[in-house]
Amino acid sequence: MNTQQALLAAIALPFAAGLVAWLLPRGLSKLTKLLSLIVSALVMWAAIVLYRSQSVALWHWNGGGVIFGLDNLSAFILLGVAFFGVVMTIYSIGFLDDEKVSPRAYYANFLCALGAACGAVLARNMIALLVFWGLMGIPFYLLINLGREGADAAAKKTMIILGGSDSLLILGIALLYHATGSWDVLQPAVALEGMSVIACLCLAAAAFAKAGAIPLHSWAPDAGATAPVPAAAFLPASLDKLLGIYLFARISLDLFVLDTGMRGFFVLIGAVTVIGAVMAALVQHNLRRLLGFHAVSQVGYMILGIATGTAIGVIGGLFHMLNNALYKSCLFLTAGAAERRTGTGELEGMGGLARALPFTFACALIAALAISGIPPLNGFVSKWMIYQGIIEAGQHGLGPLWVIALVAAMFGSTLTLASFVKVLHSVFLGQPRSKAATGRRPNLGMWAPMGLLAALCLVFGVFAYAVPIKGLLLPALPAHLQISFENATWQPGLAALLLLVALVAGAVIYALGTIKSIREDDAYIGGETGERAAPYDYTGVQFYRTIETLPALDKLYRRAKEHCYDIYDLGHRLVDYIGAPLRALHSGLLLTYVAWCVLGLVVLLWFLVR
Amino acid sequence: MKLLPLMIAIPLSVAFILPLLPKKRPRMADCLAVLATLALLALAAMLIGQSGVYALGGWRPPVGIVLVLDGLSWLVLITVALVSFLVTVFSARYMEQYTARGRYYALFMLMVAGMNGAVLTGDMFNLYVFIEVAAVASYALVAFGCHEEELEASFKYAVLGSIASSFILLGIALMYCLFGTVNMAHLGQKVSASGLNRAAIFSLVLFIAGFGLKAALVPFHAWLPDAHPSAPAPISAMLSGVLIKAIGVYALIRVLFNVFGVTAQVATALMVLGTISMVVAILMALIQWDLKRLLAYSSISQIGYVMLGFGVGGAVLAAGGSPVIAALGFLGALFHLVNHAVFKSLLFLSSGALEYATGTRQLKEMGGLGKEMPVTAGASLVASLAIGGVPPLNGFFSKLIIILACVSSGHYGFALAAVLVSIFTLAVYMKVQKYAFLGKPAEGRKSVHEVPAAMRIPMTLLAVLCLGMSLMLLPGPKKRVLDPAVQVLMDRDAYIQSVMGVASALGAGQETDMKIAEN
Repeated sequence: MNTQQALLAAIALPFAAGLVAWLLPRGLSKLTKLLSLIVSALVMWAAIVLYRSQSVALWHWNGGGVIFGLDNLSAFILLGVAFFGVVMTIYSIGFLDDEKVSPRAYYANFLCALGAACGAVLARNMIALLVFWGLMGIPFYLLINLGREGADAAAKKTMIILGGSDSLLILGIALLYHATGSWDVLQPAVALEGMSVIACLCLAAAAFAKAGAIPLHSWAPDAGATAPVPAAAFLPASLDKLLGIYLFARISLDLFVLDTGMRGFFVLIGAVTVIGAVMAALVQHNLRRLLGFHAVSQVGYMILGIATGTAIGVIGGLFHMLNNALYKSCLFLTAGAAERRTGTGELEGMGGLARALPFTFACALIAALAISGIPPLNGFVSKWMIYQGIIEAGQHGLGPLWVIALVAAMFGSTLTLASFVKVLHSVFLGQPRSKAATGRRPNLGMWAPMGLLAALCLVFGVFAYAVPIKGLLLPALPAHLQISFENATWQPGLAALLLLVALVAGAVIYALGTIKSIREDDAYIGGETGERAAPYDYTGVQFYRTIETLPALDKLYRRAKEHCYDIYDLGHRLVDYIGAPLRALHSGLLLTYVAWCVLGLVVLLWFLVR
Repeated sequence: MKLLPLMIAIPLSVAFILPLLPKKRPRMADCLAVLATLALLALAAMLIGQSGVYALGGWRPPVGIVLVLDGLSWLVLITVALVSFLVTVFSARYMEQYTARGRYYALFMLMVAGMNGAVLTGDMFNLYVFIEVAAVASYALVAFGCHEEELEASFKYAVLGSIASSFILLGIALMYCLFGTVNMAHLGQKVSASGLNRAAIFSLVLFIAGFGLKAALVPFHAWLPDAHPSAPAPISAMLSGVLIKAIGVYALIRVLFNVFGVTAQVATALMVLGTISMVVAILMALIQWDLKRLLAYSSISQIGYVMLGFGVGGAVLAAGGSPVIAALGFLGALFHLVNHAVFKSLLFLSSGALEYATGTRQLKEMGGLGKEMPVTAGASLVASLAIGGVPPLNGFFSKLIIILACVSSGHYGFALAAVLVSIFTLAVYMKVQKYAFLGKPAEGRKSVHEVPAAMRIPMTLLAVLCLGMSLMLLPGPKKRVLDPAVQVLMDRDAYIQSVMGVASALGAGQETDMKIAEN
């Protein structure tokens, strides 16, 4: 496979296979699964070929301009897209065998989404980018629709926010074209002045909506909570992050020369996203919805890192994007396993699953610690780099904003940990609460992807420099963002060793049996034996509910319940508000209508014959 | 070119044959109507790439009546033919709910004849007559069900339509007064020789208001949300899909660009009218729960896009700006006009299929129909995404071109409005999808069956067209189909030359073909 064939294969193959999967009769679902596995593997191969070639492969429209092309950044992102394509296909095959999801519709849309993502990453022409970017919305919409109850509302909301931001992308690209006269994605950067400020904001809005940053985030938790699990792990948790951050990196590295004001604005959005979403996540009681809010919160870190514009910040931001896709999709996959076992998505219905699903628990633990930024896992390394980036940017003219950003980032990390302590406790530890905890165990197709992703979280943390940074990130970035890590003081190997010692010590203490097992006894109220269980069985979920009543936060949470922070619901209210007088004007009376016509004629006369 | 009068003669004669058919054999009427529209479609397809002037009875212009075929009229002609063919196929089963099918098709054919005539004629007074033929037929068709609300809607439509007609007639009388001719090309020649005085602009305003009323631009739109939902679904598809374009938009731009010549102020007026229509109508559509009423408001909004595109092109042309950008505006507008004909008639047909199956037009009484009516749901989804501007469907590209033209000509505010309305449009159609096809069935809804094949096939074909028409922007088809139409709007003198050239070349008593070199 030469590079040009690989380029076209990565885009065309998934679409062709999606079409075939759609046309295959229902009885052949095994063939459909095999087909999607083969195709995603082929896309992965094509991505590797493209990545290793290090050349700039181009595809022209017969004699015209360049349509598809590749540079180091897009080769890196493509690798990520293809990797998650393979992992999620394997998980889907394992997970969906007994679900009520039509395999034909599922795999057809899955493959088309993969193809559209490859197309968007490989597009060198703005229009091609626009087409594939928007095209991704259709399979995503249809995939969410395959989900459980409430999926129709989530799909509608997702399509409106993502499709709406695509319209802004059209405006942004049109303005950019007007400024430069070129459709090339890799054109020389434009200075921010006049209309190109608007262009930059429009493009950023599209990137933020796709990645799910506040205030365009509200589709992500809904979609994450209702779509079929592998689709939720594939699209909102990994592909949309990769693509959104890809576009944002293009905006801030290639397309525009960002000034301090614009950088500050992006940093602010990042900071608000980190804190706002994690605060929302703290009080969620549906597992996948909670994960969805964390996915939003993590996007804040990536934006913070890339918006700083410092080499370490940008590398940290992109590294965090990769890490987040790893642990967040891993978390979604473990959530799927837990859901399948218990038959519920509510945290309060789970509990004590560590015994039933030990491997899933181990994966969830690693991923949860990674997202909380516990060393030596990958989340720690990238967050650390982002902190460094913020501090460095603070020294180079970001102003006092850097303190806010740093505090937000660090505080957000703490709250993330707090939130995941709750998740781990209420899902895997404690006593089993669900009587229905007899659902199916995860099979090979499910635990292999979980294990792989968890292992990568570990590897990318312990060998952070040797594997991902040196191998993947530095080659993806232009020369002025290359920095040396030779003199770095953080020794992940040593830290890992120390932590390992601590873990062994903990295990030894546990094994010695000094911690007593649970003593069960009757409950006494005023000397009388009371009913056991119910009122005394407090879950982590209830404990965290007290946050909602904290003096300073109660108002914020009340507003959140009234959907005051959801741009979708705000738009809804605005339309009702404007619609009422308009509706009153359309009274249905003929005389009113005639009056309008006459009025219209008079105004036209005044304007034109004056 | 000799076949040109057939475009009017076939539907007109079929319209008079249809009521004579035996009433007990309604299938005969179905067959005849389908055959007639198929013949029109074939005829229109044969005329591709041709252009020329046909002098009726061999009388030479400016005294005689001419039919003019050029890129622009061909584009509208084929659109009318295509939609009316698919709609008659759909009608065959759908109209079984009604009686007097022969009369239905007769009125339908009369409407088609009126539209074809209005599109082809090169004469102002003929334009008026054909518009009236089409309009009167449509008044009757709106009232076809003879229910209370249908009669009320038809009455409103007729009153406002007559106001429009009187504006147009007054405008024509004024022009005849000023220039002593009603031949469009001849008028154009005289106007460009003498320039536009106030009286001429006054008559132009009358045309804008009159044709604007037929095209349902805000504030002249109020009849449409009543009339279009009240008609039987196939007629709604015709009205929203092609009628407002053929006798509203097409007539307006033909008169504006080829007779009067566009000025900066008129172009601004077009852009403003278009933008107001876009914004007001989409907000009204968002708060509707009656599916067909929602679609009707959305039609007004989409016509706003088309007008915006023409306005931008006209503004650039009037300011002597880059012809490439002006052509971009016209291209976007024309492409959107054709696209809208396809997806809006599909949407109305699918609303008809829903009404046929469930007996209701209220979105809140549907729900979960996607499982029971997969073909209707699929077709409606494609059309919804197309009108919502999701790539790679046709609506995306035409909106993209219009926005691009706005930005390139420096009309940033209009571009922003177009973008915002596009977001709301998507929201409107996502609402339709959610409440009609997704989720759970509404309480009390009976289980239903998919509509018969004769209704599924036209919907499927239109859905395929929504996808396939994006290919019209490829260089080959674009050059053959869209560019000639754009060229007509760009070059007023060429239009005048093509008709008046015939006048000088023609001896009495014989017809002639005259080819205008493409581009």
